Amino acid sequence: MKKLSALFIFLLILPLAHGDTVSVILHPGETIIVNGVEVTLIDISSTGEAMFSIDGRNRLLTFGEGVEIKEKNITILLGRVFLNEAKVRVIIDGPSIFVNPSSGKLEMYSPFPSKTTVPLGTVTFTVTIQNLGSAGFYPINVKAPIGWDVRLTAEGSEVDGVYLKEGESTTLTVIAKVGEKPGQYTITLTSGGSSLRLSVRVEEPKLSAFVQYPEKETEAGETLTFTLHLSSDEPILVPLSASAPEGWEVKFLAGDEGVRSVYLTGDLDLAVRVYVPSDAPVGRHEVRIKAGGAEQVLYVYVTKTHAGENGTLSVKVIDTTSGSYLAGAKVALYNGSAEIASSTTLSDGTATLQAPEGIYLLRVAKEAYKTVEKTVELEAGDEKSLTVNLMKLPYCFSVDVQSPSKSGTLGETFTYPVRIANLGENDDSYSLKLSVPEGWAGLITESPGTKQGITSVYVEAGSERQLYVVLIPPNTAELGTYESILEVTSDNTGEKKVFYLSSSITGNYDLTVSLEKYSLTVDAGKTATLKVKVYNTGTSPITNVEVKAEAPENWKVKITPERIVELKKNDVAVFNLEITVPAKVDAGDYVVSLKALSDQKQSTERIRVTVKKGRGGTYVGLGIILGALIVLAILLKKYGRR
Amino acid sequence: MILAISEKEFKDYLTSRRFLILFGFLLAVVVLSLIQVKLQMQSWNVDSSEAPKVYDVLQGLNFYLTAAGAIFAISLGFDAVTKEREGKTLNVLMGHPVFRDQIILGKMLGGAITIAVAVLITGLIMIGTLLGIGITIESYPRLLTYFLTLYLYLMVFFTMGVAFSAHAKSSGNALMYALVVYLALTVLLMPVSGILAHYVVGPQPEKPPELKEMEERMRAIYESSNGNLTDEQIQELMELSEKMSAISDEYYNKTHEWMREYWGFIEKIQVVSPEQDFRTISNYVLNPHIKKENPFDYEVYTPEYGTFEPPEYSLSESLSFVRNEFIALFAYLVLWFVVAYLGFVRAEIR
Repeated sequence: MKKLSALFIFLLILPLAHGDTVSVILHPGETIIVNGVEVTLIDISSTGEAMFSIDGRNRLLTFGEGVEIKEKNITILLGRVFLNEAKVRVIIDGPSIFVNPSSGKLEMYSPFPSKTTVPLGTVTFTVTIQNLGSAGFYPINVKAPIGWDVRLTAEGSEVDGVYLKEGESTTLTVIAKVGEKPGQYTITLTSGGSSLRLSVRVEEPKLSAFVQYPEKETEAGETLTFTLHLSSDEPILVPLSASAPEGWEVKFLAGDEGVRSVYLTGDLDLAVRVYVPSDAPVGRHEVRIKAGGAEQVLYVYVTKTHAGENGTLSVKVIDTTSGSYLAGAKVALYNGSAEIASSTTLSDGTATLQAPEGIYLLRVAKEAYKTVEKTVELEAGDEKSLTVNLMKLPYCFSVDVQSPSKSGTLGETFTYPVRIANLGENDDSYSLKLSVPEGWAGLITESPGTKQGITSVYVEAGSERQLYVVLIPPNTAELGTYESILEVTSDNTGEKKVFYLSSSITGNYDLTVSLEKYSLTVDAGKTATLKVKVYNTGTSPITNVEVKAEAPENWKVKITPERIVELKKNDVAVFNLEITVPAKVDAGDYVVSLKALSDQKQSTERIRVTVKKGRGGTYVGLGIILGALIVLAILLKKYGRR
Repeated sequence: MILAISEKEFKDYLTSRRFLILFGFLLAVVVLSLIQVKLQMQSWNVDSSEAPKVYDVLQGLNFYLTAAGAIFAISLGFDAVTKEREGKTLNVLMGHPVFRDQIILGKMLGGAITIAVAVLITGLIMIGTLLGIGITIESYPRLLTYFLTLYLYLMVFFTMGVAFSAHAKSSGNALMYALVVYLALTVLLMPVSGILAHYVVGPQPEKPPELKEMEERMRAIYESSNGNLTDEQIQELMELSEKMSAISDEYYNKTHEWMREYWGFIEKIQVVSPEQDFRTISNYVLNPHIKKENPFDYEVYTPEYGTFEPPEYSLSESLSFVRNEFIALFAYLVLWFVVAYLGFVRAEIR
């Protein structure tokens, strides 16, 4: 054994000997002699450091770190650390290196180094160690398959090495708990330059499973029980598993308890309960059950299915305080956030819901009561009944905005009636907060007539108050829809209710006529022109704008353009008027009234037209006056002299 | 001889400062009041698209013209005789081989010519101003008649002045008498005619007490109902109004009859006032659309009921409506002429 391991290491390092630089792979517990210096790898830490014993002194090295031994003119460096494989690479540097495997100071042997066990079973080996070298502590490294639990024990305790004087020997016990896979495995112990291989064979025990009535009939939604008969020659831990169609449920029962595995010693009868979902289709279904290595197929023949049928849930709601049935509570089933079914309780407090098979959240709610939520499972074609107790809230209120959305023309005030009802058991006061669009004025009043706003209101339990939200848009507001926010907060609970009041401002129509001149002077038989401006002074466009003139008989009034299809807000339309006065008309003042018409609004203006009979009349008049004065002058000249 | 005197008188008038001032004043009154009327017109006739008519304009003018004209005419006549007497020129005149009636007739004629010239000039300036301010003259004959009436009116006051001048001791007295008579005939006549009418026609008929009672009852029902009448109240109101209508009809007929008589009487008395005569005549002469009737039976023409044409009368028809007023003016003229003539002829001249 000792020679064998020495040869193994020698073969490993031989090609590297006699070089200037030599690298050697070491496992914990292995020793090499380098130019007569003894180097032993004691242990590897999980952080990648390695503990060495070099020339009888313990040294902790990290990657790249080394120890120089001056008298031998060599340097020993730690190379790569293979944590997973529990080995390190050691690099030895010097002018002439000669590496010898350790001569092996310990001799290990076991009288029965090869054993057999069942999966997950335990084997025990006895190992004797004799010290052939000098006295010292020799750590023992154990290598075992992954998943195995291997311990070294001596004198009833777990140990990791032995202290032996020269020539002394001792005995250790190796306890190995094997894995579940059958096969041939090896456990290797390494210490003091020698190693020992222990062989373990894992074998499945002989197990038989048997069901007397492997095929049964049932209706969907029912549960069937099969009896599984297990027997084994050797004691064995039997894991139990089953595969069934989706939605089905298979349970192994020991008494009332479900079991996942069974420790079998001899014979055992196990109940296998198979739940058939109510939506299972009619026909033959297969259920496979596995007990350790044995497999048994069960068949279930479904004679009737409930697939597609709803489950029924009847709920009875009771007021906890009074003990009476509660009518008007909302009872609803939710699947996540989606409402599947809902109903309202009748005067006897009952409500019936129907929903497809599934697990639902049942929510029972009524204003002023604490909402109750429960998880219920409904099965297709099944009927369930439930009683729910609701407790009245100490503080609760409702706010009713009858018409939260209003419209009006610009300049109007919006009034929203709001009713606050105290539904709780106690009196409460409520803070009122109103947020209005920029530039708007808004207040909450107790009557629509007053201009006195309030910011909180007190309501006795069980009664209600009527309030009004008055919103006043600025005169410059653009047309459109505005939103104001009313917040009602309970002073006692801080519960807040928010309402959005929408005010839609529609336009108003108005037009104004403006004339270039309000009086015209025109000679009879001539034409006068005038510009008429029609302004849209409303807030909405007006359509089909035209000007009509009412003039005395035989007068001619020509207006261009005839019509303007649309006049936008603040726009102006200019109409040209040509007023032709007939020649045979008395001089004097006349009135022409101008009417600006549109589809929406109209407006009237008047102009005074002063008709002159040409300049002739005036000149004749002045001539006559002049003539009269001349006559007077002549008379005065002729008779005026004394 | 009369012509020589009248020519001399005419010359004297034209050269007298008083004539020039008063005539200028008269012209100023005419022109300024016409301009004022023209300016008022701007606001007057805004609603009816009718230009103002000559009669509308001169109606406004007449108020000033009658007063200014009367004073102008009196001013020409009041010292016709007294001036000569005070200046002792009458004795000089008497020294010439002229008859007294020739002197007074000559003075009258001179004044008449002066007034004719004044009316002519006034008339021309009035026509000129009317045309100048843009008023259509529809009928020159009517306007001419108007000026002749004005002449007649002025002559009445001129002869009145001469008459007082012939009788008074001084010019001052003559002027005072003339003004007193003028004021009496214009200002005093109005209240006097009212008083007379009251005595002749009697007081206005009173409202029957049962009518008053029913009106009270009606008002009480309305007031107690506060605007909401019950069916019974409506029933009562209907019965009341039915009863009332018979009584009130009778009452209103009576009142109307009384008013017709009252104002008819006053109008008859007003004929005594030359100023009123002139205004009445000019009204009918200038406006072809009005008809002489009792004041309460005028056919009222309102432009709103535009379908019916106002009646139009010829000048001679219009003149016939004011026959009495013409007769009154002529009567005054003859009266004052005779008074002046007799007064002068009989006067003692030392």
